[in-house]
Amino acid sequence: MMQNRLFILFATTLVLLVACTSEAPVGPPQPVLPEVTPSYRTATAAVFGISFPSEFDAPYFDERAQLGRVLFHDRMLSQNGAVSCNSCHLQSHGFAEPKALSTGLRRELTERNASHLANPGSQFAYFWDGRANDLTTQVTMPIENHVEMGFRSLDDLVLRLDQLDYYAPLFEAAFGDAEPRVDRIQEALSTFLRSMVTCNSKVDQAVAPAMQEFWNPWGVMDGSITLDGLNALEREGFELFHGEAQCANCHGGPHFNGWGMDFADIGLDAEPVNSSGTTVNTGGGFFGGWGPTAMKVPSLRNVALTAPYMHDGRFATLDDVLDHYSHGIQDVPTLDPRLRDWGQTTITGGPDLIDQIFFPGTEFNGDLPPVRLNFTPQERLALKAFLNSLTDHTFVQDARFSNPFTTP
Amino acid sequence: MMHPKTVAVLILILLSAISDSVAQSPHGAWVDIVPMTRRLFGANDVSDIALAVGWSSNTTANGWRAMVGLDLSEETQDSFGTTITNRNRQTHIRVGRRWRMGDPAAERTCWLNLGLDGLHSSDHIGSESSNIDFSSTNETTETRAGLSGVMGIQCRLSKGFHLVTEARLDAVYTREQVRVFDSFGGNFNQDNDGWNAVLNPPLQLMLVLEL
Repeated sequence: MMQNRLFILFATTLVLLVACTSEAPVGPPQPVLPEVTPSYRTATAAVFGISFPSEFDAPYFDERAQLGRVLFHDRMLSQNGAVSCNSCHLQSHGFAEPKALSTGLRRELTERNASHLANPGSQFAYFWDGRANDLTTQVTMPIENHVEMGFRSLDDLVLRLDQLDYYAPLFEAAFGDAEPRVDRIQEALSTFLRSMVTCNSKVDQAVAPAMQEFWNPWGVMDGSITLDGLNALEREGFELFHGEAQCANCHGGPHFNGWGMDFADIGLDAEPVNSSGTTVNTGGGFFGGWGPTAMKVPSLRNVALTAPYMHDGRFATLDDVLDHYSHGIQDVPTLDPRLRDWGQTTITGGPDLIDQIFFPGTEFNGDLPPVRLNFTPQERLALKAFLNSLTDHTFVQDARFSNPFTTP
Repeated sequence: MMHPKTVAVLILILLSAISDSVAQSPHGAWVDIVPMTRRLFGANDVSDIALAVGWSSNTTANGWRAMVGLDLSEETQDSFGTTITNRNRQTHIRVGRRWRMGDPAAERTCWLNLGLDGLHSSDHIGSESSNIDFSSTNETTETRAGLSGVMGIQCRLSKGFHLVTEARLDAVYTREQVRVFDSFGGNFNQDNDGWNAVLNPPLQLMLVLEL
């Protein structure tokens, strides 16, 4: 009798253990999308020079952006299913990653810091070295990169998407045909990126009423444009940024990125070599770059969320960045002329000056030391307050750009 | 299958090493202390096994040196239903001759060594993933063989203890094999062969113990 009871107790325990430990088999996560495709157009974008194709020109704009959203967040876009675009471009960090270098599909480190995404549709060069100048073809370059997402052939990606059942209706809606093709993948991803408009920061709200015609920060300086909504410290930072601190010399324009086409060697290292220590070609870009050591001038939108900073993620905080511009610029021959102390020369313009700007590193240019702005504590506070006011909180919480998959 | 000429050269080197080791002393055991110190200081990218050990026929004068290095790691992660295993295997073998610059008899603290190595190395990085609907393999193997010119600095810490670091210029024949496929039909194979010259900065710091 006792033996029977023990046997029943043992059998029950065994059944419970098996029931608790066995897991239902799980397949790749599925996207969960709204029943009605939302509009991916942002009304206020035009104020900042961002335009969308008209309904007539692009009748499938929203559907393509929605397909792009799924592609952007889908880990199956990496060869082994380990990473998605979203793995290195996190919405909560302004579509950057809080790591100096990212890890790819095989846990290898990337060569550069993941760029944040802020109005990518209004830029003219992509990647830190500007090696791509067309967003439509740029979007598949990380997918093909052997460190990042590992597809050696985009045809293999097409084969895969063809067999993932959730893509057929999305391609059908976006292109009127369920067949995935490389050009359609590129179109959908780039449409999604073009739809990622961030122009609702405190600064945008303060500036927008006065920006109907053109970007005119000088209007603020001469007092004809008021910055309602910014506090005194943020206003002081805005004026410093566009004036004495000279930040806008490179980070000018409505997106604080040198109009999306600027490159500069900012004197990070004492030796004029490729700062990341890699053999990656640093030339190219819209203007062919400013030299082999120049990197793209990034947008400062959402900058408070996109640490660490610089192409190799060497600076962990905005204070580190301000330290560099305050007193840390290295005197290298390839230093961007805008970062030299022009107050120490009598030349104020003319062909000689133009030559120095277009051919940095010449003898004359080298005579000028790097600028030492030596920010006061008050100036640092003001600049940081202004940079923090560039954060667009609605952008980083916008459901249209969020991960549609049931699991991250 | 090794080519008979390769076997003959290896045997010749081995015989020379043995004859040297018998004739001269002191012998030395080498160990690269960089991986150990990195582990001690908690470097987060340190491999599961990172080891480089060697032997020399003479620690204070001209002699033969051999070095074997292993760098192995394996990591399995569950990525929301997809099991992904990443495996890295690096092996390096160097056998060669070192010539001490300057007067061997002099009781110097530090001196220069020049050397010539034959080397063979293999770097493999692979990833396998699977879930109920999908599996994939992604492997890159790079094999290098050739000659290497070496310039090193050796310092005597105390009797019987030396520190050595070396910069090397490798002239190697490299074969890279890429194998990528998945259960959806993706299949990519690529082989790249060719000669390369690689300058290796002195990233190893070897502790040498006289035997």
